[in-house]
Amino acid sequence: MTERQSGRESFEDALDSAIDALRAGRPLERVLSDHPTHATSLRDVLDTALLATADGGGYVPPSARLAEHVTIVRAAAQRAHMAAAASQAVTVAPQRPSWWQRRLTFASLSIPAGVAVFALGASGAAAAAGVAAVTTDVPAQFVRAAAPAWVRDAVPGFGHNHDGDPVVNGSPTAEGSETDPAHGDTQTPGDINKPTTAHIAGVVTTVNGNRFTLLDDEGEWLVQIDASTVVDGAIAEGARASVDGDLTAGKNMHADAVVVTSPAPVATDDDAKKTPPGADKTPGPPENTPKPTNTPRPDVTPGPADRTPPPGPGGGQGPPEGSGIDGGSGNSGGGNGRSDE
Amino acid sequence: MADRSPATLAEYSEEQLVEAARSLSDGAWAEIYRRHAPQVYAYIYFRLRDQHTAEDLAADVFVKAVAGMGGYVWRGTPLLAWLYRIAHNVTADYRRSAARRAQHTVIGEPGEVADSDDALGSFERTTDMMRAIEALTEEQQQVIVLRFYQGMSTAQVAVVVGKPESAVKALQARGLRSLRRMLTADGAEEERATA
Repeated sequence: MTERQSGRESFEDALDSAIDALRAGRPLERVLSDHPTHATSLRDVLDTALLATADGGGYVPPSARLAEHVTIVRAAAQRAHMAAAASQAVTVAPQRPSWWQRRLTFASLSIPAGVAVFALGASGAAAAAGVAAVTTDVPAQFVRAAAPAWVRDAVPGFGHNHDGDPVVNGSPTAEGSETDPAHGDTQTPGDINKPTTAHIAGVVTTVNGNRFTLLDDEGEWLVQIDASTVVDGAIAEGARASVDGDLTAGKNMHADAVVVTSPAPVATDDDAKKTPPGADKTPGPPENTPKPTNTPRPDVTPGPADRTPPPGPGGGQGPPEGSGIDGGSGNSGGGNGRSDE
Repeated sequence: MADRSPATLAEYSEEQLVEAARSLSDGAWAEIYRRHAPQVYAYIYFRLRDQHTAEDLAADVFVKAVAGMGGYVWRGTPLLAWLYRIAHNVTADYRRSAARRAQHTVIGEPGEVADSDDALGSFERTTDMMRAIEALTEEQQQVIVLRFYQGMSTAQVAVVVGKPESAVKALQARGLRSLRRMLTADGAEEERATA
């Protein structure tokens, strides 16, 4: 390579080219003339390179031992071959599953177990709620209303009355279990939102505005009337009357119809001072409204299907807002999504 | 595995031989040893300057190659390049252990040295050169031995040592300069001693 061609040749490149040229048999001076820029430095180094290869560099060829060592290499290859064959036989045997396989197996077994434990826990929680409802005075509808929706969904029978009918949470009329079967007041299947009707008969003991108490063989009932109540006769203390209406809570009743079967004894001057029900505070039926004369006495059991639940607190329309009881969104007792802050 | 006749394996190309060696055929390995053992020996000898040690370590190189053949993939690179890399590591390990044992290396065979002055001078020069090469770094030694004692080209050396050609040329230049400094210093000291 001429200087012109290797004008920018580095010393390392020039040295490498010079070594190849010397090895090819080119004279040293001719080689140096090909790299005039580095000629001085190349001369010193090339002398050393020649010296390194002089006399073969003191190379001593191998003895017969080198060829005999082939037996060592053969033996090594045979051992490796046998080891490979043995490892393949071992892999045929059942191997311990890898760590991720063991974890997956554990998870697959633990999931059903976890589900079973969960179901037992949920059932226990539901049973405890039922026991609490029975053993305490906590109304069942509040217990059921307080339970989350998933309990009602997961636990069969939860949220249903004794007859298996679904119970509307918050509906004060949907307390099938509170109904006294002695009065024959039971919900018919399908009457999910229908209040429990009842028929009682007894003696009016007290009268107070639009409420009066009626005493029968089962005890004293608190009856409430309003403008929609059909009243036949004068409700007064001592009068005998029969009442048809909807049970609200306990022995509380909202009357749809009141029939005075036996008038009260003659009122004294003191008795006349008491305000009869329906006189002023609670508007009675209008004057021009014909009194029902042949009002059929409803049967004891099931109320008419077309009877519209009267409005009022808990009158079938669900609890008013603020009660903390959700009508069916699975509230856990904290209100309509509101937290207890 | 059935051993094949050496005549058949001798006609194998290197790729075919490598494939047979991967199946741990002892005949294939014997052929590989036959083809490349002398070069591996020479490489080790020029690094250690001991015939017996070089012969034993050469066999070790092939034993390690048998063990590592599973990870070797034929990519067209000469098998010798891979064997040289193994030989480099084996030699380096031996030198480290030898340094710990403070073992003296035997340089050549005393009986091979002629009685003439030229032969004595040659022996002394060779001894100085071998001592100087031993003083180089591992990488410089490797390049000098492969380039000057194995007759390899720069490209071939680059494949063996696993470095680019520019790096090989740089190691070559630095190695030769170091050898010159050491040999020149020894020569200057000898002249002062005889003066």
